[in-house]
Amino acid sequence: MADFTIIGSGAGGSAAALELLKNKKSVEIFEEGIEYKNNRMTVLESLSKIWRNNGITLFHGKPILNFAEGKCIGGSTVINGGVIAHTNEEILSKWDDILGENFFLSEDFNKKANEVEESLTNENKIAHPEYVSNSSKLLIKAAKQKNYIVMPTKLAFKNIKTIHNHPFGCENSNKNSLDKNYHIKIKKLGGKIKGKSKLLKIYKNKEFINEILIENTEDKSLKKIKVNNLVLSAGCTQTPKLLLQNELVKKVNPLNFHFNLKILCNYNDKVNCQISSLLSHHIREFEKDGVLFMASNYIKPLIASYLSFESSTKIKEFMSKFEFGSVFNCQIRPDFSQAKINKSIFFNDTVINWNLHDKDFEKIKKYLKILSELVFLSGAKEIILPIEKNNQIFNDLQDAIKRIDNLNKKDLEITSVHAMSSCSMSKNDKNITNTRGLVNGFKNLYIMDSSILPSNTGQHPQLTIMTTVKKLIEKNLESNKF
Amino acid sequence: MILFIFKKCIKINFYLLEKKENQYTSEILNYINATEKNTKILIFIGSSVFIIYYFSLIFLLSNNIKINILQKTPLINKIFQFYRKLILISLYEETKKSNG
Repeated sequence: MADFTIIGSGAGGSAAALELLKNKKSVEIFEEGIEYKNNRMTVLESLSKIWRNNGITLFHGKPILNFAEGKCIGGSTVINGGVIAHTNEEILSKWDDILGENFFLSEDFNKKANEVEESLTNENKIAHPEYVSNSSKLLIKAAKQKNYIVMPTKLAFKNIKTIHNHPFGCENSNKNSLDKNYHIKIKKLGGKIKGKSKLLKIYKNKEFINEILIENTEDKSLKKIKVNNLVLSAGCTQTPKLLLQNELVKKVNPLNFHFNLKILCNYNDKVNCQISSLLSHHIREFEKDGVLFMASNYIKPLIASYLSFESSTKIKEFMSKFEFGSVFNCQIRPDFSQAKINKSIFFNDTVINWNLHDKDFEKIKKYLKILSELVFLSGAKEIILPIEKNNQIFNDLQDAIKRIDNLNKKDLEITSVHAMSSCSMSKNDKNITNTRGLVNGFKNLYIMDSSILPSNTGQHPQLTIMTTVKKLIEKNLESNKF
Repeated sequence: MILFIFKKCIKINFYLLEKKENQYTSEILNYINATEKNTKILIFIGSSVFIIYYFSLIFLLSNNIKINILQKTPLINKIFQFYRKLILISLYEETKKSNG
C-alpha cells in the first residue's frame, strides 16, 4: 500500500507526487485517461481519446458554454499546457485574507513559483523569434499602434521536441507538458502512474478513507485498493464530482472559469498564419481587468468548425483562402458569473449550470469591441464575430461595433479551458478544504488541484496550481500532519 | 435505433452543407459513441427531435430557408450546429501533417 494514492496525473497530481517522492513518501497515481504518445491523430480522434467527454463538457445555462479539459496521462497540461503565468499580487493578497495567513504572498511561495517555472521552461523561457507565429506578429503590430502593453509569453518548453519546438498550437490540437518532464522525474523516484484506471468508489469509515474501487477502462475489471492517504487531483469538475457522488460532502463551492471568445479575420494578402500557431505574446493592457488578448490556433479543422454558423458558400470561400486568414482570442475573467456543480437528479453524475451575469455580458461586449478594433488595425479586411448566427462577417469596424451593441446573450459563442476553485481552501471550517488542502471532516482525504484555489486567477492557472500544491505538501510535512 | 438516428442526422447535415458523405462519417459516429453516457443521451434526444422537426416541418423547403429556420429555433440550433461542426472538422482534417 502506497503512502499516498493520487487520483489524476495533471498539474496538481504531478506536482504533489513529485514533492512527496522527494520527501521519501511512496506514491501511486491513478489516471482515467490513456497515455498520449505524440501519435499522429486527427482532431476528432484526439478529442475522443485525450479530452474529457470528447471536449464537450457542457455548462448548461444562457448561453450554453463548452468547457474543455484533458483526460489523459498529464491531464489538461497535455491538451492546454504551455503558458506559464504568475497570478498577480492583488489576487494573491485576497487569497491570503481568505486563508487568514501569509501563504500566497509569502517569499517562500514566490520562491517556489520560480522553482516550478524553472522546472517547466527552458533557458530562453519565451519563444525564439523564429517561432513567433504570424498571427502573433499581426496582433503585436496593431497593439503597438495603440501603445498597448505587449509581453512575450513564458512557455513550458522543457523536453518538448516538436516541429515548432513548442507545446502550444499543434496542428492537431495535441500539446505536451507534464508527461514530458515531471512524469519522467516521478518514475525515476519510484512513483507509479497507472493509466486507464478510473476511480469508481471511495469507501470511508468515519473520518478515514480506507479503500477505493478502481475500474480498468479497457477490460472493465474492478479492483479494490487500500489507501493510507487519498489525494484527489482529478481537476476542477471531476474532484467535486467524486466528492458529491460518494457523498463525502453535501455541496461544493461555485466554479470559477475564464471566457474565451474568438474573432476570425481575413486579410488582403497572404499572412500564412497556418505555418505556426505558437502563442508567443499576450496583450496585457487590460490585465488588471482580467482580460488578455492573444493569437489562437489557426488550423483548418478548428477554423472550419468556428464557421459552422455561416452558409456553405461563405465557409467554402473562407477556407479556399485559408492562407489569408487568422484567429485571435479574447480571454476574460468574469467578475460575477460562476457555475454551480450539483448532483444530477436522474443519473449518478453531476450537472454544471451557469448564467452569464449582465455585468459580465457588458464586459464581454466592451472587450470584443476593443479586440475588433485591434484586428482591423492589424490590417484585416473583414472579421467574423463569435456569434451563433449567420452573416456575422463585417468589413467595417463601426458595423461590427453596432452588431456587438445589439448582441443577445444567448447568441454568444463562449468556450472555456481554465476552471478553478470548486473546492476552495479557506480558514472557515464549513468550507470544503482547510488551509492544508485537507477535506474538512476527514483525516486522510486531500484535494490538490485547481479546485482548491480560492478564486479566479485571471491568468493561465498551471503555475499557480503547481506552486500551491508544492507549498501545501511542504506545509503538511513540516508540521508533521501527514 | 440509436445508431440509425445518429447516421440519419449526419446524412441530413452533410446534405445541408452541400457535401457528399465521405470516409469520415464513421469517424463522426465513433466520436459520438465515445461521449459519456449522459451526453450521448442528450445527443440522442436532440437528434431525434431534430429529425422529427426536419421531416415534419421543413423538409420541402429550400436549403437556405431550412438553415435559416434551424438557426432560429432555440435548442434545435444546438444539435444542428453540433453535427455541422463535426462534419466541418472532418471535411477539413489535415491528416497528412505531422504533429506539432
